Amino acid sequence: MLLKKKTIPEIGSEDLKINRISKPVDAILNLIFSIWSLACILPLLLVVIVSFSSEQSIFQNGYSFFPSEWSLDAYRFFFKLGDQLVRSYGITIFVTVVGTLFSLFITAMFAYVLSRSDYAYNRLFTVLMLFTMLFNGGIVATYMVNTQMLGLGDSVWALILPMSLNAFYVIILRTFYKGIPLEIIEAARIDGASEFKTFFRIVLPLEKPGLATIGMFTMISYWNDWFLGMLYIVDQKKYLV
Amino acid sequence: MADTGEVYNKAIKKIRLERPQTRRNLHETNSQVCSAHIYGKCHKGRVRCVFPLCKKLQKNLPLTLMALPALVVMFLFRYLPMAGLMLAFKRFSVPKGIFGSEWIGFKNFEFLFKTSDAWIITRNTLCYNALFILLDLLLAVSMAIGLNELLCKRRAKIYQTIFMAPYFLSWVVVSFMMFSLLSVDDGLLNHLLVYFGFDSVNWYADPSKWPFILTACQMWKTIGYSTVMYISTLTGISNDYYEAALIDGATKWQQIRRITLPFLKPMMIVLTILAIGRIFYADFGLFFQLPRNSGSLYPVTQVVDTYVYRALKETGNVGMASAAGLYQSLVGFVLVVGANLIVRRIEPDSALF
Repeated sequence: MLLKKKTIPEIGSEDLKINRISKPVDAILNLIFSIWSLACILPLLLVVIVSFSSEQSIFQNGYSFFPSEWSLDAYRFFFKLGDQLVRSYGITIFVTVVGTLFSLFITAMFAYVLSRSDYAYNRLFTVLMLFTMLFNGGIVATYMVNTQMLGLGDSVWALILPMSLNAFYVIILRTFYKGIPLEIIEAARIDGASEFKTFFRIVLPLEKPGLATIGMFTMISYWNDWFLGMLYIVDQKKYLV
Repeated sequence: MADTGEVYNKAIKKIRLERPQTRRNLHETNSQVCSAHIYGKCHKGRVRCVFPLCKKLQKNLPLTLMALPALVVMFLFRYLPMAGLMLAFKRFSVPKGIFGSEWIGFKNFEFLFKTSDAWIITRNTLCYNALFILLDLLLAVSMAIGLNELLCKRRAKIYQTIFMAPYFLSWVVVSFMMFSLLSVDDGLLNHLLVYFGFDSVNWYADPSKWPFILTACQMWKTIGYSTVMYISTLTGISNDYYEAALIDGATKWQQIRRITLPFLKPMMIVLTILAIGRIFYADFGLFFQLPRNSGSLYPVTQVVDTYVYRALKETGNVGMASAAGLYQSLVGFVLVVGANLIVRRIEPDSALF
């Protein structure tokens, strides 16, 4: 990113080359990064190869990059699970889709409200939200409250609701919203748009990039979440993938 | 920004086209409402405003309604559990429920701190996380600067993408990956060791190796993500600074020390404070999945989170588990407020609050 040619026409290209790192240094850096890249990829490759190698060959050679025999047995076994597999994937997909949508919906609205400096309870709600970042009940108290008081034990909603509001994402989105000048909102109000209309027709479309970022993070955390499932789900029929 | 302006103009035009009528009407009503609200008096003294609070509520009603779902979720899943922390001072019994159980004072805590567990889990959690924060900071910043300096920008992009990949894996997958490397009989590492004439190692029973394994795995998984965070800050630094430094004859090393690092500092501080706030919360997946529940590894892999989970699910000791939970929440709270206080002393602009 340093010193692109077009940004400084005054200084000749000769000077630019001076500020670049030398070829040997570049080679060393490349070497380091290549090794790290391999370290990132190879273990994954191993898992994939192991999944395709036959049980016999694992028995003989252990887990290896070069199995003596290939087979699809693991996948055959996997798909034989049939019903259970379909149901598990179904629940995971349901949790991810519904969770992400619901989470985005409430996070976006909450962040917008907090970004409005003319909103009366702005400070109160911000403090309330920030406090949840600093202090929380921990898993035991949360678990007891959710199962005993809210009746969420062994239900899909236990996988969706607790994760749906993340104070950190609200803060990120709020910063995004602050980039929208208040004049736009005021103009919309003068033109007769209600608060809801202003939000859904003007503010949301302007914030698509922010929403996409947050949406992606939320989706990944829902998809990868196994902890809540392990904690709350007892009935095997509701097991996740 | 030009883009934003355009979208806005379109939106405004659309609304205007759709509702010329309302607009005119609203203008009239608006002026009445406005004067009534702002001056706190009503038009022509017809109705007195008895309740200013009521007015305030009414005026903010739409926005409050928008915040409502989030507030409800926050109350139910963040604040109610905080009230549930009172379990730490109670002997929990299922039929009596959370609020009906009898108070027993600090008995749960006494029980927790009498065992050696309390010391082990505190030490493990704090040391591991401190190490993670330090290493993450060092590695991520140096990698970000290194990637930024590469001559071939396209290659830098490719590296960056590859480094991010492990971040999106779940710990369950990483756990299996490590198992295929470390398994006693079938593991790749043991096979290599035997091949080169060493003895094979029983990885899952030897506690002395695990601090390194856990640290390596944590770095492997998270470093790409933090590197990207720093790179995004690096790209925001204006070239003018480097230009000026170049004219003054600064070497590359001096440029990094005097320009790049100071620009990265706010980001470093924010990420570190956030991490310190979580220093008493261990990554459950890392410490639970990777050691595959191997009992002989507990002394080096047991952290507060796994301890609480095991106390709750395996031994069913709700009182002690919630005592440990409260201990965790309190220490975490003190640490983040303390860290922020220190930062505010040294560099007021970078403090979180």
